[in-house]
Amino acid sequence: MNGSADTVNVELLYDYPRLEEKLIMERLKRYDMRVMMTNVNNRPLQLGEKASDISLIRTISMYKAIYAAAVRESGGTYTVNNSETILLCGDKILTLSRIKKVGLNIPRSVVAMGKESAEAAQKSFKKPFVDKPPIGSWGRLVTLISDPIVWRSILEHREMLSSQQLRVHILQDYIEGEGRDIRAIVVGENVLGAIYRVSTAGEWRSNIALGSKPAYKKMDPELKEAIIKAAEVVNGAFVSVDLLEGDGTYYVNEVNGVPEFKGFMEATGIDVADEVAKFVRSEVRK
Amino acid sequence: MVKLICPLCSSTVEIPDDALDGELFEHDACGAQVEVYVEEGKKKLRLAEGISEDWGE
Ligand SMILES: [Zn+2]
Repeated sequence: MNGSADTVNVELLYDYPRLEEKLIMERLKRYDMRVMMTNVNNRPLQLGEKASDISLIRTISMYKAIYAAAVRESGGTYTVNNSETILLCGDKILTLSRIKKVGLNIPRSVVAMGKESAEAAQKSFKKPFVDKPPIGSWGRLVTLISDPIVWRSILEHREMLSSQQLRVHILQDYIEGEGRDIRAIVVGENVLGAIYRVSTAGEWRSNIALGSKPAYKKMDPELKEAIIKAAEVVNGAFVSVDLLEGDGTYYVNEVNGVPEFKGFMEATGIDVADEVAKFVRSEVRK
Repeated sequence: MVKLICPLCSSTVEIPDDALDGELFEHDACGAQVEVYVEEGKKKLRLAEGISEDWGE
């Protein structure tokens, strides 16, 4: 990046703008950066074109995020996050594999590429266990299996889906986290904080999109180390890390490359968009 | 607020002035998920596509 005193040009690439994108846009402007909003659904992206000093990738669609980042990188633009980070985070098999490789705790996980192998894999699990596909979010197709009849119908339903990825299973030990998981947000090298996402009654999954209530979680050294390491593994500049807590251990479960932070803001009072804007400014000036 | 026509129930939907191209709203009156788009500089509404398998964070 050049260190000139000229205006910093930031591109925010999106498809469906959420509160998060609007807040980031507003904070960037507050720091006198020029913001260009690019709706990837109607604006073509030319390979090799340099559109801005820095491009923030904020599409809801994971594949559009990976492609938008890759195209911007082809023009030499610094991207947050970069395409590799978004790819690694977007596919839970890739994320968990990387995380396991560096020695962080994950819930015991087995990948099964189809119905037959999923049936075989299931035999190594004490019930209940979690079954989910490698892609997707907000708890879609994530099931807690405690009943052989439910398991059979899950296997059959997933076989019928046309997407190759949605026919792949990740089977995981169910970590009984008192119906809550932990979400932390990392910007640059800073862990901004962490929250509990407490699931609503009758719902074992703790995604905010499913109505979970966010609550402040106190940071401790072990938690912080796991969060920083998980963000490092995917080379994330602005990511969220989801962890489960059980038997006095933290298990890293997911890293998100286009993090949502509405619930986190509500529970912590931390202005995530402002932290992102400050980070963008400092990166461009490097 | 801008008054636009709901593509599902054809009644009026109020959309904030600063709504962005691509922004999604739910029309309380009929429950439709609508998407703002811009045509010839004017904001319009169309029915939003459903959630795709790769949507999320
Ligand atoms: Zn309507």
